[in-house]
Amino acid sequence: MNKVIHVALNDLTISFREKGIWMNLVVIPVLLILLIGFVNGQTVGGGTTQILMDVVNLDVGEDGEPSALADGFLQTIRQTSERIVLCPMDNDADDICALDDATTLSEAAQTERLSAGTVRGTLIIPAGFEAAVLSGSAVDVIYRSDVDPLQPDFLVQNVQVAVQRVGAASVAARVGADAFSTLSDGDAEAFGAAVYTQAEANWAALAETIAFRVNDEDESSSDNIGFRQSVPGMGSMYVMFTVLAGAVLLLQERKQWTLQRLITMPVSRAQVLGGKMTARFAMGMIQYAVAFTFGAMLGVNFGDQIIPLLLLMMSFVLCMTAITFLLGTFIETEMQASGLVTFFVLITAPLGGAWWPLEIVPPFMQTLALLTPIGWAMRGFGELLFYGGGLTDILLPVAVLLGASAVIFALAITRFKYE
Amino acid sequence: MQTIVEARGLVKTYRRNDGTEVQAVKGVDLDIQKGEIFSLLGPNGAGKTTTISMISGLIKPTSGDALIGGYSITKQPLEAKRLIGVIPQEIALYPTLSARANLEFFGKMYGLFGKELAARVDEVLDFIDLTDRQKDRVDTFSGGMKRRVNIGVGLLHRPQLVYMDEPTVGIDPQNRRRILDTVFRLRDEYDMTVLYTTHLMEEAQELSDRVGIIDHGDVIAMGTQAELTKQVGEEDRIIISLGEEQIEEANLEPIRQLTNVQSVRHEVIRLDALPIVENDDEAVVDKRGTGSMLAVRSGQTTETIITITALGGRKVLSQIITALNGIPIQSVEVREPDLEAVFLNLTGRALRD
Ligand SMILES: Nc1ncnc2c1ncn2[C@@H]1O[C@H](COP(=O)(O)OP(=O)(O)OP(=O)(O)O)[C@@H](O)[C@H]1O
Ligand SMILES: [Mg+2]
Repeated sequence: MNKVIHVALNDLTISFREKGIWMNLVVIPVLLILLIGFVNGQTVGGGTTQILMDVVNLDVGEDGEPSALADGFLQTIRQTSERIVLCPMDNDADDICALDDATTLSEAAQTERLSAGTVRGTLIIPAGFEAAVLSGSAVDVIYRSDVDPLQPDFLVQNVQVAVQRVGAASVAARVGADAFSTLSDGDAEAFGAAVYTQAEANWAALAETIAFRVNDEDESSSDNIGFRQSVPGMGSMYVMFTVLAGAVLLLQERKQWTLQRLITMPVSRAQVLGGKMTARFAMGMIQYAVAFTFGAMLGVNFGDQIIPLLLLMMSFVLCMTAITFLLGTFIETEMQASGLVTFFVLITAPLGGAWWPLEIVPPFMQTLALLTPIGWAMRGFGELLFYGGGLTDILLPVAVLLGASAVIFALAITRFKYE
Repeated sequence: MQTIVEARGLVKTYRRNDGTEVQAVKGVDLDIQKGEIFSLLGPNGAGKTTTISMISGLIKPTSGDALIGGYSITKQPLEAKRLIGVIPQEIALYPTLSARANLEFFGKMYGLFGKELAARVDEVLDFIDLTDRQKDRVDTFSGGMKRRVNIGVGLLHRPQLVYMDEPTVGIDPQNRRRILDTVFRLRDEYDMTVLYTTHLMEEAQELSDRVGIIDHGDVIAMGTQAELTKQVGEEDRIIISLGEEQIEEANLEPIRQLTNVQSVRHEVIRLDALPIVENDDEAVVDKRGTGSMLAVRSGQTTETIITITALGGRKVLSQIITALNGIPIQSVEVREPDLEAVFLNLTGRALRD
């Protein structure tokens, strides 16, 4: 055991002696966190700017009151960021919505306001929204903005988050209704509504605790939704670079014969390999520490789910460590190693949602993300940092990452060449 | 005498990437006695490193086994490895770490810690004469200094047995001298047994108590130098350089007629390219002949070498020179039977080829 630790410490020392280590470990990731954070939260430029969004709610009852679900939906959007101002309902005494006393908005007026840049986006909740959601049939919420649809947009993200949440609550309602479909129609409907209310209540309770809400005390950090994306995203991407760089180190050790020399010493192969894996794992965790420490310095609130967060990080780093040693079994030149690593990282990081939230990409892309380790990691981070999830919400990503690690480690260890 | 290395039937077959197989070592038996310097002498690619790798536990033999101080290297590797200090042919050090940091790390791998480790590292640094450079990174060292650190690592745990795989490759004469002296000190001052591999006959000759000659993966002869040279008989080799002068085969006839002369052959060596073999028999004796270093310096492009084997070489030398009948001679060398001659005799090739 002692020797394992000394092999690991030696490897860490050597890693930190490498040229450009601080550049790769700290400087570039930090810059990318800043850059990608600002891009993701772009509409939230400085300080306390409010973001206006026009809302037309067509889902009103005969009494002219908005349906409960539509109301909940709008409330959800408000809760994703206190900077969002929904017009006309949230207009203030200073007429922040620039409505000139109008209380409703026609579609034509909306279009005009959008193209004039008065508002950042326009949302239309269709008639029958609540009924459709409750019955489980498809319904479109229309969102329009002047932002390039391919660009990650702050408002889109928030609307998406809201849609997901409402979706989750209403799915619970539907399942309840399905299970009791033997009841008479009226009963099923009543039951469905009851389940929905319950789910909604649960979710509302959840909303109180989520880290997602803007930090009230600290004005300067109120745009940290972007960083909440870029810290785990760029952090994970650099974890990949940092850990996978170990494949090159392995190659060097074999070429300079230090690996072979170790094998001629009274150390078992398992100890040597164990030490080297420990070192790579530690480098990965150090990389996450750098990213999240910087995030905390930016004022990002990562919530209180420290254990699940660590568990998720460890699973991802472990998976990358396994891949490093698998690469080490067949790679023959440093060129080949760095080429493959770059390719792998640059393909899987955006695919897995490291650069922008996966909620904004088409469904098939979201499915593709699940083929990448970083996709699972980002899904886990999303649960913890955006949706206020806890341990149970990340068990699936963690299980997938650990399972993949086990398979890859088994392959790597049986094929590993020491000479 | 106690045997410390006892290898039996070591075979190593490598599989190349294209699927073909190479038998690098084809069934080597070795017996190394405690306290001796044993040289494994053979040309490049003979299988020296592969043999050392098998008896140090780095690679698994395809078949066969070796006992190191009674422990099987394949079945009790950890016990066996504790007895051995391996000094690889490559400079197996971490270039970005200091000499001391390298020694400390590898010392820990040998199971040394704390005060004992520090003391051994000091001792080794003193032994390799690098105490004053111990804090410097290895990649700032000269080739000779790196070689010395490379050796030092293998001595940290005071092994009973030291393997040195071509430790003088690529270094200047001064550092080479130092390393050869180190080998004697290991035997004489520290009672260590040394297995030394080399492709240089002179090194094997100077160092060894016993020699094993290895070629194409086989140990083709093993014994003391006296035992080995006896195999080639009592003949001396007389090597005459004529410089750029050419010679007709007919002019060698009088030498062949001399009693005691066994064989005569000549060759012209292109000094600016690979040697041309003039005789059709066997091969060139010594690519560089005798006077060639002088020759190269004087701008000469070819060199004619006559190689004569004869009993009592020195006594027939004057007759030979007379028999050459005035053909100008650049240099003459008489070699008593040596390992080179043994290798030539056994393989028909020169060691340097
Ligand atoms: N990993 C390997 N794969 C395939 N062939 C190998 C491998 N290692 C060595 N060989 C081959 O085995 C033979 C013996 O090599 P080895 O390194 O043992 O020779 P050596 O006597 O140490 O030579 P040198 O004096 O050049 O160090 C050579 O033909 C070499 O090409
Ligand atoms: Mg060799």
